[in-house]
Amino acid sequence: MNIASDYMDNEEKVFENAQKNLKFFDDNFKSFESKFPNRFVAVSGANLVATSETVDDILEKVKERKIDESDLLIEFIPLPGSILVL
Amino acid sequence: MKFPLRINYKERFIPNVLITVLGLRSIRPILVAIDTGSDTTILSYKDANTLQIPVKDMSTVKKIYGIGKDEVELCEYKKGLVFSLKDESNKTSRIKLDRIYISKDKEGANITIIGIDFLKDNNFSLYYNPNGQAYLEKDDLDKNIDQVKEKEK
Repeated sequence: MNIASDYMDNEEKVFENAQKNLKFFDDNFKSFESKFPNRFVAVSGANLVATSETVDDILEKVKERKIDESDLLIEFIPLPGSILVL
Repeated sequence: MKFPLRINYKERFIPNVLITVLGLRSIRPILVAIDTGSDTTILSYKDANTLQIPVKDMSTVKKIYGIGKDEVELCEYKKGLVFSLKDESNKTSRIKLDRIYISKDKEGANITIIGIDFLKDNNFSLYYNPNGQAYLEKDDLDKNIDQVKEKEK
């Protein structure tokens, strides 16, 4: 197996796991919105692994807890009913 | 070649897609929003950090303005990132970005956005129906896509 195929296999695995995390995030969004408005949530292994008010803090928590970052999904939870402008 | 987009983004009808991004040190999944209201593709502070890009140490090169008075500082990353997207047949296409702006803003939603520059440079068309489906489309014969794959052979 060469470097290119190793990379592609790894990329595929990361994507598949991230898809599971995204599905978990979508399925639980309403619950997150009521429990963690205006906070960041981190999802790994299709589980909620950390929440925080700030980006730096949630990144720090993920490192401290030695959570596998390869498929980690960190998303901001807006206030319910708020308007999101990019 | 079509690249399906999601329409539901946190219960908002913003076109978005899960991609993987290859940086110098890691591969990370990133949920990106497609924003035709932005000239530029911008990696969020959060996502840049997950890719182990040292944003805190990087200088501001540009400021952007939105609908409010607040401005956002951007730094520039020139070490190359590879965006990987899945097409409708689940085949991966890779697009190398030699340069990308990174937001230094820690506040707000920290959303990575694909802007007009990405669509233009890579000849993507955007189809978006908030009541139906959304996708990016490009010519199958486009030479820009899979340039990374070609280099690997």
